[in-house]
Amino acid sequence: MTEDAGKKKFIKDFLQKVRGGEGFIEDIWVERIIKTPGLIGEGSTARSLSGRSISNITELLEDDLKHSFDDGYFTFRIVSALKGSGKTSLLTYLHELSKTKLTYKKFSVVSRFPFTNINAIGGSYDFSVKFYCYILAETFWKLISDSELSVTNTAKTILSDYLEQSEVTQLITATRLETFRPKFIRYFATVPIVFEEFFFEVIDKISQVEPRYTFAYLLDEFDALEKRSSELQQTLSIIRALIKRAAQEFGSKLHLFIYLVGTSENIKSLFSEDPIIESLVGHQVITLNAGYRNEFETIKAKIDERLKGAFGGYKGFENAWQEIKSIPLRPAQTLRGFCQEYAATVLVIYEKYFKEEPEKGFEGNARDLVKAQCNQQWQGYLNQRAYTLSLISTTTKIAGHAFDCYVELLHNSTCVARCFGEAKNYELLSSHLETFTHWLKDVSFKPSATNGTPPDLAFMIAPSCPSLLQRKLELKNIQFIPSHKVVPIKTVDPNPPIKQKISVDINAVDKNSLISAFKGTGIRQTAIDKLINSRPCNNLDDLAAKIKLNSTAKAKLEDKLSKGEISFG
Amino acid sequence: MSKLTTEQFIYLLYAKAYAKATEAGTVTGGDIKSYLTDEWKEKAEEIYSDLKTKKLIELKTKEGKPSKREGRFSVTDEGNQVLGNSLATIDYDFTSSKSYKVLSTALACLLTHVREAAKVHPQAKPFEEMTFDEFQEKFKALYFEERRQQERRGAVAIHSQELCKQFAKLNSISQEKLAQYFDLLKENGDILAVVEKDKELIQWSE
Repeated sequence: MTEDAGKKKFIKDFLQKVRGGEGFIEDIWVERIIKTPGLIGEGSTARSLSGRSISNITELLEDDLKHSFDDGYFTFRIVSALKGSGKTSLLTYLHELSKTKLTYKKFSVVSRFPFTNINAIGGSYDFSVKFYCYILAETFWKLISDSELSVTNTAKTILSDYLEQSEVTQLITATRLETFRPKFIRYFATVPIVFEEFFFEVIDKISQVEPRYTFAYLLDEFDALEKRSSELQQTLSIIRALIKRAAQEFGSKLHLFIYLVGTSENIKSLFSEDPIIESLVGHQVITLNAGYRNEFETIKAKIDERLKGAFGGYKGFENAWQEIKSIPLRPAQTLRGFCQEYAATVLVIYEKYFKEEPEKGFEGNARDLVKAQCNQQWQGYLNQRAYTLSLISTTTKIAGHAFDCYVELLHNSTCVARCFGEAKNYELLSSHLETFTHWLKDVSFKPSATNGTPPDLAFMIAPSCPSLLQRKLELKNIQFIPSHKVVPIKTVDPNPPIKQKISVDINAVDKNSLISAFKGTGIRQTAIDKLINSRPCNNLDDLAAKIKLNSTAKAKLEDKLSKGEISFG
Repeated sequence: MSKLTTEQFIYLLYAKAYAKATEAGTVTGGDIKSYLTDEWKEKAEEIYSDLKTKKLIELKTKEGKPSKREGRFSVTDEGNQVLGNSLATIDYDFTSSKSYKVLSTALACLLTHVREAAKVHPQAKPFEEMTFDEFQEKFKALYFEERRQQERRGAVAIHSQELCKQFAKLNSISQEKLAQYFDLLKENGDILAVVEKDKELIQWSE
């Protein structure tokens, strides 16, 4: 049976995910402002470790990653916030970011886990033994199963230095982390070694064969130790020792990256119980705010706009839209509280008006957009006489899936490469990518040119795409085509530009897009924040009044408006 | 109630300040005279008899019993009251006084006076209770100062109980008003309150 993405209830799944309010919800991720601790002004706080300036979460995390992964310095961070303020979300986002750069992914072990995992390990070993065995197991699994040969060989040699040959064999023949880990813990827990020394020895030996290799541990739920005083004390002494050794023995020049995440009260008591740790890393704390009104408003916009794209124009939409717009926004909440409450309310409206409705298909001209891209990217072949493009078709069924667009590159009428396109009428969701990736796998998508064979192409088309999702798309060789619903396109253009220049809808796009759209006008970020909070704007005059624009900036915007670079959707 | 001249007021205040506990809270005219400025020393006898006529001081023995012998005396209840009233209204520059005894006595009299006044006229309180707007502004300023200090140090966890205590120390506000206004902050959504490990933590939200 054909599976049609248009029939899937992406919006409902999306709302349910937001209503859960748990962990990293990529589809509503909002950029958050970071300010220096102790300064006046709103924002979560942190100091940069590298000395480079940082102004938001992404810059902060990317800077920390660069600090360790590229520059090779020791990173130790504590993330502190009230529960529900986005701590786990930040940690997961950081993990995702570490995967979006190929060299990071290739030359690192990144292990993210909650402290509850350590508590849950059976056996009567000391907590510190369990802790080290756990992170070493994660480390060795990556070193052995998914690294360069030189790294893998060094890891195997280290294992042979400490374990019986039969045990080493058991470990290197394990096929899954889940079976590798218990064996590793069982073998190592009884080896009489100083684990801390062993841990640093591993880092040191691997660094000798691959100096870029970075060891990253993202420790979540420090709060799991709240009521376990012995475990807590052991953890404190592990942390103290790690920080001290990294500083004293390596002068902080060490590819080691640690994030520890806990609730405000627990981090505060960690510091009051251990003033040494406070003096060592107190200035490296990231304090997250529970959630600001403008952050709630951005999330709300991300939800509302998608609903509008999926159901706008349907009977009852106007009423639904009125109900959505009149949902009151309570300020004193955590991000989690807001997500749960808001999504639950929108779900009720969804059920009332749209539960039977299919999501609207892309209202722009996906076919032309895809064709233009094919002409461009297969240009080298199409310039040769033997190559032609097949007729472009919509909703083509291949391997049981109904693709929105499908084109073939023909060589003497034989298909030599294919192009798949999927278009959405609202900002892309991570679930769209999951579905599309799954379909591409089923049709044996071959994105790289081999032996002179042209590469397959894949496109996703939507009004917008969150930046992390776009990076994920690119890693999977899927290209994103930003497109508003109605785009005038000259279909006969033999050399279409790679990217369609599209008008930026002032009322719809996110902050980054606004910043780039306003380039050259001298409009500051604070004014852009203000604009985001007072949208929608009906026209330029309305905008100018709302953010108190001076006449020079207004004239520059007018120019952009007349050139069609910006618009009020 | 009698209105005092500045020199009478100072004489009376000194009489209270320098009265010795070992001598049942009495003092002699000679003692007081030695503390007065030269200008007033000449008038000491005159002031003394004025105060006696007004029954603001009364003659006492060293043991504190009523006496008819001139010289030793203590401040009467009425004298204490007049002292309190005068303190609140008199135009006298206390910064010129270097004696901590005098200053602390002046403060003690004033406080007694304030408390008495509050008891007698519960409606007309000596200090106007602050309005909610004023509270909100001051509480917010205190919150952000506390937050900045904690941020500089490392971890941030602002306990509502401690912050309220600090607020009460720095401002004149009754416990009931403080509790009422604090609840109002929560209700209005000015602050977010979350309980962690049995402690209420707060965050200003805007």
